[in-house]
Amino acid sequence: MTWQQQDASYHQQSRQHWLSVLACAPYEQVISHWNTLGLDPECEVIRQPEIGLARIQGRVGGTGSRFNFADTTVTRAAIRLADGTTGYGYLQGRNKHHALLIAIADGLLQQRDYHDQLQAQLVAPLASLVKQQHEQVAKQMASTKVDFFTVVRGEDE
Amino acid sequence: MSIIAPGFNQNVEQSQVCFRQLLTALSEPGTEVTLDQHVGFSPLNSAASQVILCLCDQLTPLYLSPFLAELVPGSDIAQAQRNFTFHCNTKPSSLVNADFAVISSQESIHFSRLKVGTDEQPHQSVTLIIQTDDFTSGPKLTLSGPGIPNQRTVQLGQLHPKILQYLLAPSHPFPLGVDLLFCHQQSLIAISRTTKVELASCM
Repeated sequence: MTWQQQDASYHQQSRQHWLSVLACAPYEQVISHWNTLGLDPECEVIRQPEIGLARIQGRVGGTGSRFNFADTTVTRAAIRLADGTTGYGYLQGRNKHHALLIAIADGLLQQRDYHDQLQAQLVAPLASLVKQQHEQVAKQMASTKVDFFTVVRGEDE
Repeated sequence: MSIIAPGFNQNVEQSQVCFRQLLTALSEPGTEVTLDQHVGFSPLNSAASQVILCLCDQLTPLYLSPFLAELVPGSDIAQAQRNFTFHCNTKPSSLVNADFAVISSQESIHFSRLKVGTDEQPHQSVTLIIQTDDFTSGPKLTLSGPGIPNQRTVQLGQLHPKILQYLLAPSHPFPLGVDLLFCHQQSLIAISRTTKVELASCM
């Protein structure tokens, strides 16, 4: 039994986290952090990076019923490491190098030997960067928020 | 453990190359074409795998005969099915419902149970991919019909009597019927439903 299977749900959450961080972080940041690691694992590309469309759905106020909102480009790739571990990369946009890099990092993050190093030197710094960006956007949005209200006009009386 | 093998390296370009070859094969039945863009997912041979990689997508119910795995030791039909699901999003299906089916030339199948389309929609029939041992043995068949100037003679390897019988006397009236793609390693010969097949007279 591999260590991934020992705690499947924890592993799933943590994998979702690193995939999300790697996909949301800007490519320049991902590649510069990756380069400092000095890793060049042997891997085989089983799905060459390819670009497709995904439909985005939205909810008004985050609670309404779903409606089709827009289409966006999505890039995906898949690799297999020498020991058979498969890594996947999905991201919004059309950066094929980025998708491939995510796939390779995903493969390595599933391996005990590399997991801690990658978490500490790649995922953690990028996670705080992504969080910072989200907070900044949220702050900007919050400052433009408008509360709608109706002045009582006295017609109901 | 499930091992996903690589698909086409250059998906678009290699699919186009395969499509062009298949177009030639089907528009000129009996012509041998070469598909050399992929090594194939065992137990399927190279040509059969490329037909599926090139033509099938998420709307294609795909049947792979378990009999094929018996002919190639160490291969697993479910593994091949998973590879196609990964690369083309095909759905595994029973033979009766399949749009594309891969079988062995040594296999007995009931042609009457296959999808053959309807009079209104004759294109909704199965494309049968038959893996065969070679194109140099077996009964000599004379082909005639659209896409064939005069006649063409082919050998399709040793065929199960039921397959041979269907070739010689299709049980479905045109435009209904099944299109057959015979695959051996990287070579493919197509027999479309318009082709009339006769046993060549022995001399």
